[in-house]
Amino acid sequence: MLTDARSLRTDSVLHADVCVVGGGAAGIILALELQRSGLRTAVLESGGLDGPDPATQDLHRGESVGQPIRSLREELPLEAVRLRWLGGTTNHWAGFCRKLEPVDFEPRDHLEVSGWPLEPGDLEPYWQRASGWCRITDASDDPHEWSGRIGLAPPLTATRAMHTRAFQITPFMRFGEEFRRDLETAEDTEVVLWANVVNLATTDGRHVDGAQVRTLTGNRLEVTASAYVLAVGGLENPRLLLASADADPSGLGNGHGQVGRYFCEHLQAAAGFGVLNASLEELGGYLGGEATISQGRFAGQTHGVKYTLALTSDHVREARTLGLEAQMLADSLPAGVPFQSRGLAPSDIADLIALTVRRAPTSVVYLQVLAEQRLRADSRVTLTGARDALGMRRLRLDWRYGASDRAALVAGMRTMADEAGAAGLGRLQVIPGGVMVELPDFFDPERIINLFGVDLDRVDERRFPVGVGYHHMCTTRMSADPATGVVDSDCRVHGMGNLWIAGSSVFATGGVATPTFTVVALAVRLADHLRSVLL
Amino acid sequence: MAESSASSPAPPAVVPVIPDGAATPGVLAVGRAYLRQTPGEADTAVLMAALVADDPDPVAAAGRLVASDFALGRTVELDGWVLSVSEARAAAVVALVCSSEC
Repeated sequence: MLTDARSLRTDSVLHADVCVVGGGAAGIILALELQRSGLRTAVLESGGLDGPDPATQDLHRGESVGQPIRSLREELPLEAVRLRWLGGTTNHWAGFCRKLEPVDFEPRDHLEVSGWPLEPGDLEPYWQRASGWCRITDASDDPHEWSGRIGLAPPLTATRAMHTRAFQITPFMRFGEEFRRDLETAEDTEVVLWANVVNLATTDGRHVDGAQVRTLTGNRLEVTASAYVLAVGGLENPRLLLASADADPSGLGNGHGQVGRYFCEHLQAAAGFGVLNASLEELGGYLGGEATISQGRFAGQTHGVKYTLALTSDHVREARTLGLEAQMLADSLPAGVPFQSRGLAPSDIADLIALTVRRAPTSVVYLQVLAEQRLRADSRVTLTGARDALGMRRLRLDWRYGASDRAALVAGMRTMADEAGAAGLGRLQVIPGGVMVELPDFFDPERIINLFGVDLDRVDERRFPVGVGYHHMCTTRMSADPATGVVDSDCRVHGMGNLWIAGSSVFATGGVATPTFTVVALAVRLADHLRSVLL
Repeated sequence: MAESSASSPAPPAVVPVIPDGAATPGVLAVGRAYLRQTPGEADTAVLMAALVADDPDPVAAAGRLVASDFALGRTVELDGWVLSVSEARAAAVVALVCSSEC
């Protein structure tokens, strides 16, 4: 059932078993998983059904005082990277799905904080179930399996430090549109649109008494429930906890000062070119393939498959470094490829390889890397003194990353270059931040040209610019110890009896894999948990 | 750069034999880039000694060393390209010899 909060009588009180704050990927899947369980669920969505409302979107506005949040081409304000209507940030989701890597779950003593209080096996059944919601085949990230399934060439030779991983890509999957009818017709689910939660009321700081809702038209509502779940993203989840200060001026669930800390992103950078001893056909999976879903809700529909080169968990562990992987765009060598880079061109390197190995390489690739960020407590979300149109304090994001993150990225690319050379795969170039001044036709210049708007003659490898994935993670991180996190392994806020969190803010580490698939898996898992607690 | 022999003692005088067709534009470009970055090796005798002392074909010598160079970190970066130091030296020999003969 869909309800417009603006049409309800002011000071109405709604009752549910589970109150879900936020109608994005996590909130929608949680509500759908709870359907027909016997629990009544209310989903409170800030926006409406179709597209951004400027006044609602403005509620996201805040200060960004640390590293800039950048797209591939420009710095973006906070209100541009989070979306407030049904479906949330899936409304600009690129659709990349993959499980986290084993090393992501492990404690790493060279990092300030690391490791999940879960094993990969704990999430495996939920990743499988998440695939059914994300319009992909299943949870497999094994490129050998995918090559066999859809007839792609096998992945490039793996080494101890570098191997291939497989993403599935579900194009234009907008959860609000996709699942609207399921939400609309469900008798046990009420989606309240235009409902902005501004405070979680509490008297003792250990139990939420109600979610206080405001509309931009002036309505005041309250939703009471047995369980409350915050699912409003990696920026707004901590903001709402910090702003809910009925019992403690430092906010709800913030007894250890952890709420909002460890904000991290996936760092993205132009890395350089590669010259490979593989034809475009042999690189098939790296350039992308297509699979057809054989069963379930989306049977008959197709999704993409794309391979990436990645550092192995073994290497990340042994080298005490951070996760990194590289995506490829490619074309054929030798002559005539209109690449241009500073200094030596790919065709020069192709000549060199042909000189010594007597076999000319056959393809040139452009590499873009995605890298894990080191978690740090001073990279954080706090509140400013300014207030939004509903009187709620705006957020301040102080995102921090530094030389060690850049150094890990460069070192990771160097490792890949060494491995590629040793395994006879080809040669890679490592010049993060500035690789291309002229583009071949097959690249989309809107996406790639002069990747970060930098002056290519002035790129400094130590301070090269990075882009981001709009992946806001770890701000209410999962930890068995409340001194290093906000939620426990069930996603319940430490010290709170009836408050849980869903979304990438509970990630204990950011890893490299894109987060939405795991966000959905954790929402499925949370639904199981809430059923076990409430029924 | 992971390796340099610029200060090595006087190398044996092996006269390089450049295979036909080796002096391609790309190989010459790489060789010159290596020599610009490592001017102390701008001498065929020094380069041949660093490659292998008793094989007159620097290309063949480098071919045997490329994989182990990468495995052992004996690499050099030229304009960001991570190359085996042996293949870069072979290209440098080609560039030196062919600047006058090829």
